[in-house]
Order: sequence, then C-alpha cells, then structure tokens
Amino acid sequence: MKNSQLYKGSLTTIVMKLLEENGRMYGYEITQKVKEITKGELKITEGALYPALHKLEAEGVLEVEIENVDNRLRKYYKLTEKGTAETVNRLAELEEFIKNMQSIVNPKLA
Amino acid sequence: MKLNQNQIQFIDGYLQSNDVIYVDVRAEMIDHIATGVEEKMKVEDIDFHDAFVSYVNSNRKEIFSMNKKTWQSTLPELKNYFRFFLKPKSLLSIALITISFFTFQETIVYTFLKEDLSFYFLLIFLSYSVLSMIYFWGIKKERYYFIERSNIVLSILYWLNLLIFKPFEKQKYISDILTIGFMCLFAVYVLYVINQLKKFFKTKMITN
Repeated sequence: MKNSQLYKGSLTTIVMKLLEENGRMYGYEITQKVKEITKGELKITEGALYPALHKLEAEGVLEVEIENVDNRLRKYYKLTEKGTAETVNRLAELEEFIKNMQSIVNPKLA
Repeated sequence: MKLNQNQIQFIDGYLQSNDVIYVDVRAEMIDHIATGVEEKMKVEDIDFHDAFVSYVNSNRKEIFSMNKKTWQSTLPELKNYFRFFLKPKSLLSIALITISFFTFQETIVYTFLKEDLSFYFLLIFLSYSVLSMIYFWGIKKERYYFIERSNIVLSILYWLNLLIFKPFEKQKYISDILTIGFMCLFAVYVLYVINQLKKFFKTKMITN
C-alpha cells in the first residue's frame, strides 16, 4: 500500500465502503477496484487485505459465499446486517478524521 | 482467457511445494493467483506459463504473506468461541448443567465427574484430535487450517482446568463452582465445534 502508515487505519473502512457499494466482492476484485478508483495511487497488498477480511468475517461484520467459478473455488465477501450498520459509523468517523486533518494541514480550506 | 483444470492444479502444486500446507488457505490463494494470471494473459497476450512466471516473480512476497499464521490468528477463534455463549442453545445447556449439578451432585455419576474432570477433558481432547487426524490426514490426505485451529480452544481449556483445579481441590464450594464452570465451557465448546464443522462441510473452505 502506498504510504502505508497513512492508509493502514482506514483499510477496513475502505473495504466495507466498497462492499456497501458493490454488494459482494472477492479479494482480487477488491484490490483492483481500489487501484482503479485511486488511479493506481493506492495499492492494497494481499498481505494486508486478506487478514483484514478474515478479521472482519470473524467479527461478524462480513459473511462469505463460496462458489465454484472457472474450475476453482471463489470466496465472496459481503456485509452482514451488523456490518452495514457498522459501515455507516466507520464512514462517519473517517469523514470526521479527514475534516480534522484538513483543519490541521490546511486551516484555510477547513 | 480462463484457466483450465490442469493449470489450476499446476498453481495448487506450486503452492504445495512452497509449504502452503492447508487446503483452505490454498483455495483463496489459488483464486487470487489464477485471476491475476488470467488478467496478465489477456492484457499482455502471453501464454499461461509466461504469465504465471511473471506474476509470481513480481508478487511472490505478497502472495506468500497470505500464508502467514501467527498466534494472533488464534484470537479470532477464541473470540468466536466466547461469542457463541450468547446463542440460545449455549444458554440452555449452561442452565441444564447448573440445574442438574445441584440436583444430582450427590449421585455417583457426579462424584466421578468431579473427581476426574481433567481426565474426561483429556479423553475428549485426544479423541477429537486423533479422530480429526485420522479423517483428514489419513483418509482425505488433506490438512485444513480451520480444523487444526479448532483444537486450540480445547487445549487451552484443558490446561486451564489442570492449573486452576488443583489448588482448590479440598474447598467444596470453590471446586463445585469450578466444576460447573468448566462443564459449561466444555459443553459450549462441543456445540461450537459441531456448528463450525457443519459450516466447514457446507463450504469446504473456511479460513478464519
């Protein structure tokens, strides 16, 4: 992930936001979607993404659907009911964070 | 272009030869690599072999970081187990154990149970471990991270039981409470494992 320290704390929120918009997604699709949206500026690595997905699944934020696609198993992730509510909270927190950062970095624009 | 069964097996073999031993961990890695390779074949108009070599060379470190399992991986398992206590069937079994303990505590069955609780823990622990090893390692010839990890909770319970019981053996009330406590922990564990196994056999690919 580019400039990983800055993005690290927001990885799960990014994943949840994408799942909220797209319904269900698999790991590779998430990495490509983030790359596409940020025009290659942000690259989520496999080593960061999968542990985050597994953690969210264990917490009951995500649930999985497994399908046989093109001769292999594919694990799709989607938000649970709890996850959908949690996404709203996390996005609000992230927006607040961005606003605060804006106030510090560029007070004129805030 | 989509990969055929042989190409998927080639990726599987590559991961196995690089010590990715668990089927459930490998399954997600295979899909990730296969999708990356398919994209490379399409975009760069190259064959499977070249696309695979190129993809692995440029993503090797990241691919194998998916296989990293540390002690932290056991924390979600413990959390899931404790979360399972809130399920109605867990609460019901806790209530039944508590009621039956106070109703039948003077009977011979409970006297034996109280005296040798550690032994019964060990018996179940070994039976579950040996049976799952025979089935998965011996018959299916496959190892699943999900199955092997579920033993961790039981081994923690077993060692806790050994450590905590001894100092309170002679104190009736404390040892009664500990007996009920551990019987409940154990009963909920059995329900938890049955639930997880059901999930496992339904999907055959559970990684957390």
